[in-house]
Amino acid sequence: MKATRVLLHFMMVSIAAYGTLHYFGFAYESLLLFTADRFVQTLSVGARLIHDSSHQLCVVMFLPGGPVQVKLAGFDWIYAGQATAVGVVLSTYTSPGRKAFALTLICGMLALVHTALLVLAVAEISKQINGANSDIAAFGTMAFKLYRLALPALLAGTWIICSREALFIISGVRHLMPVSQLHKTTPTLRWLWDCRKPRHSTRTTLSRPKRPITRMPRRQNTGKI
Amino acid sequence: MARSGFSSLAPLFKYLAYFAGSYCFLVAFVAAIPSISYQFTSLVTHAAAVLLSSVGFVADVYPQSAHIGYAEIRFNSTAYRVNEDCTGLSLVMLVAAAIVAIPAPLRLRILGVGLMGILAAFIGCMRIVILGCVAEYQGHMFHFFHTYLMEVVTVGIGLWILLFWFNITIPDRRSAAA
Repeated sequence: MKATRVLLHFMMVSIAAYGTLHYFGFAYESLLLFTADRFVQTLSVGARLIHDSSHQLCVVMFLPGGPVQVKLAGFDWIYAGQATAVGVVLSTYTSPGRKAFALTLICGMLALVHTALLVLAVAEISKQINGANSDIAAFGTMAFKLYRLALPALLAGTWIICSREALFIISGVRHLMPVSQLHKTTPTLRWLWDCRKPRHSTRTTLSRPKRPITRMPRRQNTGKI
Repeated sequence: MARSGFSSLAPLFKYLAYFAGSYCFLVAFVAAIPSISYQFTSLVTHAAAVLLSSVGFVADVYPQSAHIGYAEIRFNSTAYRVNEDCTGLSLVMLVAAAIVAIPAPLRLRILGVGLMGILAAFIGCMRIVILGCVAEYQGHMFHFFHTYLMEVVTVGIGLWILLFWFNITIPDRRSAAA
C-alpha cells in the first residue's frame, strides 16, 4: 500500500469532483435549497430560501415592513466537503461495489448535513434581523463547530472501514495487498481440491519413478489355434 | 461462518473504538483548556512568520488577540487573522488519535504521536505561509485556496500520515499477531 499513491489518487479524484460540482453546482445547490426550504417552512422560521436571477443563494425574510432579501454568500464550502468525501472514498483499497455503496452513503449523509446547516444559517439570520428563532439558532454555532471537527474524523473512519482488508488482516499472504491480489488468494474450487489431496499422492505423482522401458517379448505366433 | 467474519472484523472495531475515543478525549481536553489552543495558534503563527522571514519577506506577528482565539500576522501589505481552524489543530488531534489507536508497542506510539504531530503542525504552518503568499500575490484566488484547496490538501496529508504510519508499524503488528 503506497501512501503517496493514495494521496495522489485522492487529490486527482477530489479535484475532478470539485470541478464537476463547480460546473453543476447550481443543480446540486437547488436540490439542497429545495429540501432546506421545506424544513424552514415546516419549522415556521418565517423566511424562504431562493435563488435570485444571478443564481445567488438568498434568504427572504417576511418582516412587517415588507420582505427583506439577504444574500447568503460564501456557502460554496459545501462543495469542498463533498469533493473531499468523493476523493476519500474513491482512493480506498476496496472493491468497486463497496466503493459505490460507501460513496452513496457518505454523499447522501453530507447532503443532509449541509441541508441542516443551511436551515440553521437561516435561523441565525432570522435571529440577527428580528430576534426570532433564537432557540433554533442556538444550535447553529455548535452544529457548525461539530461539523468542522467531526468531518475529518468521519472521512478517515470511512477510509479505514472501506480498506479494512488491506489494513487489518495480518497474515503472511493477505496483509497489505492490493484488492486484485486479495481476490486471487480467495479459495477457489481448484485450490480447495489441491488442498484436499494427500501430499504423498501428489509427491508420488510428481516423483514417480519412471517405469523402466523394457520391451516385452512379442508373443510369438506359433501358428496354433 | 458468521463467527469467522466477526473475528476478522474485530481488529477494525477495536481500532475504530480506540480512534473515536482518543479523538473525542482530545477534543474535549482542548475545549476544556482553551489556553492550549491559544498557545498552539500563537506557536504556529510565529513559526509561519519565521518561515516567511527566512524566505526574505517582512512578516510580523501581533499576538495581542491570542487570548480571544486568534493571532494577527502582517505580511508585506496583507494583514490576516489566524484562528485555531487555520493552524490545523484538528489535524494534529486527528493524527494523534489515529496513531494512538494503531496496535503497536507503547514507545512506538509515543514516538509516532510526537513525530507525526510535529509534521501535522508543520503542515498547518505551511498552510498559513501559502495562504499568505496567495493573498499577497494572487488575491483573486484566495477564496478558492482558503475554502477548497488547502482543506483538501490538509485532509489528504492527514490520510498520507496515517498510511505512512500504518506501513511503518507493519513489522511490529505482524510480530504481535504471531
